[in-house]
Amino acid sequence: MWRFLISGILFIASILGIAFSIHSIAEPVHCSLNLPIYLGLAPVSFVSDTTSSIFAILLFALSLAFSLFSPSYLSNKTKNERSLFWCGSILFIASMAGTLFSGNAILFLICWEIMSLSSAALVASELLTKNTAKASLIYLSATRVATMLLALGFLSANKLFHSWNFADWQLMRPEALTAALLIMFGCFIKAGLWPFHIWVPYAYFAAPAPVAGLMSGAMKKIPIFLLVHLLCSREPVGFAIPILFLVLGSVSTLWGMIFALVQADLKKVLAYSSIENVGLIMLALGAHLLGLYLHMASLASLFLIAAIFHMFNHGVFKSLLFFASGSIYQKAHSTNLNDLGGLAKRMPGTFLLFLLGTLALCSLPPSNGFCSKWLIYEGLFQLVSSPNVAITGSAIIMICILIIAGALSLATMSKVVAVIFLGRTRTKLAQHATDCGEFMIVGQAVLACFCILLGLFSAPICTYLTQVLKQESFSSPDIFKFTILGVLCTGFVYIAFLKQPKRSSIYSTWDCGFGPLSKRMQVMPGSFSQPIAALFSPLLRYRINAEVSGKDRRHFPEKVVAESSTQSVLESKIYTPLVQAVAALGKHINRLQAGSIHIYLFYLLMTLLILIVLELVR
Amino acid sequence: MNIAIYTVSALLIPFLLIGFVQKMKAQFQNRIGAPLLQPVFNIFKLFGKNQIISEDASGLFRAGILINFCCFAFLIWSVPWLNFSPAITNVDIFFFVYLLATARFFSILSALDTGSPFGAFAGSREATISFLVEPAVILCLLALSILAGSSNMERIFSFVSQTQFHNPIVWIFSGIGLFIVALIDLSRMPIDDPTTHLELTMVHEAMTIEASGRNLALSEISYAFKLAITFGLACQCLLHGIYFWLPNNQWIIFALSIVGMFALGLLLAVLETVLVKLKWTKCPDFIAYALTMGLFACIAALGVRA
Repeated sequence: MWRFLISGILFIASILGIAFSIHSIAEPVHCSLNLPIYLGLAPVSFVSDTTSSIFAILLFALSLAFSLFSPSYLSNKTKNERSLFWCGSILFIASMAGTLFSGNAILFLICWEIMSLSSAALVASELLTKNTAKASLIYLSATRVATMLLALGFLSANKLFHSWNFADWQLMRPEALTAALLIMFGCFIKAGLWPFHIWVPYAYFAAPAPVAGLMSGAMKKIPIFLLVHLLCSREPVGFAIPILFLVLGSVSTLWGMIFALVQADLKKVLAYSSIENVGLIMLALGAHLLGLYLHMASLASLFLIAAIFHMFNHGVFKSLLFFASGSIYQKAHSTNLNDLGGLAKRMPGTFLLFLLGTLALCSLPPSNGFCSKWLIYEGLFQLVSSPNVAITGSAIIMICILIIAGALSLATMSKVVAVIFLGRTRTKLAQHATDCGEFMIVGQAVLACFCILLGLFSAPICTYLTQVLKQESFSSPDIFKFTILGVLCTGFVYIAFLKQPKRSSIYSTWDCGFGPLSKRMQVMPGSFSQPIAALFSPLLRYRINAEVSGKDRRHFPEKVVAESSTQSVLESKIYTPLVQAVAALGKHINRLQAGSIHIYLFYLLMTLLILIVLELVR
Repeated sequence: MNIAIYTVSALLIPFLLIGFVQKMKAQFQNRIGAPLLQPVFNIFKLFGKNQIISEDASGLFRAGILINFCCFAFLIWSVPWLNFSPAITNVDIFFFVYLLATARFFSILSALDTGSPFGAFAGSREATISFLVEPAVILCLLALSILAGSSNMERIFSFVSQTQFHNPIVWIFSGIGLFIVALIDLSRMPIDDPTTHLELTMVHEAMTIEASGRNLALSEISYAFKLAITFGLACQCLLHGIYFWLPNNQWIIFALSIVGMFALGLLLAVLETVLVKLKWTKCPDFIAYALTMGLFACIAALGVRA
């Protein structure tokens, strides 16, 4: 009962939030609370300007779907888990809204911390049923480092500009480079950009599906918001920062998709694909900064709109897919691709919505994902036509990277859709799955509607964004005509040729005459992606260990075992040694803390002595 | 006018081209071969036939084939594979590539829908091939669009912008690249043998293994459309390359385009007669030729612009 009340309140709050954000896009609202709590250095003040309102619309749209989806998702959880879930998620959503609307750095950092900690608690919330301890530790340490960098960045920016207000900071000035870099790297870690993406698959895999949806859809957008807010004003920020954005963005795009291909779990696939999408957004932001640097105003504004539009689209379709993974988990009790299969007939509603989300993820026309990617391509093509050969060459390379990442996402997602929903069920787990409750479907359908609408009306939306962000206008490609044409064409062909065919019979799948196919004869996710994974084997550390044994092993093997394995190079070669080194160092430092009062007194004495000596030397 | 030309051509040329290739292959093997219009007869036959659908298939099986067909039907009216500007305008190279990807996505899904291991193998290969071939396609088209200064397909293949940047090398490289891409994408000889009946090794034929009756007819038609589009684009590239020697009459160029497509068909028949199918692990090496052509074309185009 309680959960419906809480979700009802959240639902109403989200609608109010959307209404407020739409209202405040056009006119900024300042509101300073004269609270007895003064944050030490800065007052509690909230500002809503155009950028934050756009991001807030996404946040509240996702929390709307979240409030519809979650109550039924929690139906078979214990009471403790439920209360942790609701406390955590309400804090999480509120703190995200707080970061978006905070007027100064101190308030931002406080909200950012609450956001990080509440989401870490949510990641750990299924601690008893799933082994999530490692995941939450990794996530927590990533957020610690991010917060530290951000705090350092804020401090040094404050030292330069003598203000805590974001509005007074001008990070594009050359002397503010250190502050800008610190803030940027803090944001990169939180956004999960390569090479700081290690926490992403762990955290999203461990988190409950609706929370993973919010984290991927909304939380990852907060650092992007900060970057847009601080760096993407009308003045250029030098040459190095755009290049950093472009390089990390393109590597992330490719890297995320290569690793998504070989994941065996739906949530991990989605996590890696969100690394790809963050890379894409960062790439667009980098190109925006580059455009500013090159004084190509209309190109810069195209990329800014593309980044914001893609951020919006990614938030919507990725949350949709995570929610769908939640309903699959609830009904089929697994999100491991090897366990599922044949759910299309058992869960038709979820299947249709998942397919829509997949179309957007693979950025296939006419989905919204395609529209924003199209903008990025158009922008890159304009970069190709720029007179500088180095820029032209790198733009061509980036177009190729995006195309390759697109083809990889097609391979990945066609595999994912097929092994989850098509064919026959692979294990007993999924045999009794039925479609999930109406509210869960409605929660996903809301997001699917957003996907369709954002796709259909991409051109007017882009024009509107250009106007409210006061950017130079550019011609945005319009897909509306093509979509309508395509739908009409499909409908016509269906009615003309396929509807009520004269004779149609149902028979078993062709089996070569060897008798009925078993469910184990279907393709497995690992074997589907093997040809591409083998091409990337040095990067993925992809190995197949096959064992064929028996007396006449060539013709009549008795035992055939084949197993493929992959390894994340970055994690095993860089992060693990790094963590081990820190831990080893920590052990030595630990010796200082001997637990004996005499030694501590000795330390005190030594400190005093050193201070005296220092003073004497001066 | 253009709509009429594209409609008539779309209804005739793709099927004639398939029939022609089959006829030529038969001639090279000293057989008489099926009549030129056999593909059309086949499609009419398939439309009249009973369709069998697997009990494991969901609705996506038929929907996938339908959407795949519609993508190609859309493309054949919107891509300038003849020298006239297409019936549906404003399609740019990125939209073209992604629409091909959409068609591919749905054909892979309908191949996997029945749970058949053959379809799944083929789907996996198709995904791999598309991953390898898409950079080549985009590089070839990008080179041309650098010349034209626009990513719009009809402006790239318009014969008008040639007065500014006429560079046969770019066009020829792109043309060869697109022809190799066509061979790969249509799963023709060095990659795949369309005439064997060993589905375990095949790509396209194994993907449609569960389709029958009208479904098979639709996928055959989309295959024919794909053939016409890819061969047509390659032929247009080559024609642009020898633009200097061409008379300035649209209808003559139109006739030449059709002759060129059939010439490429003849080349395909010769290739399929003399070549053997590559081992699957060697395919990436062959696809690399297309990529190289695309890279050369891009570099040449940048050189011309500079």
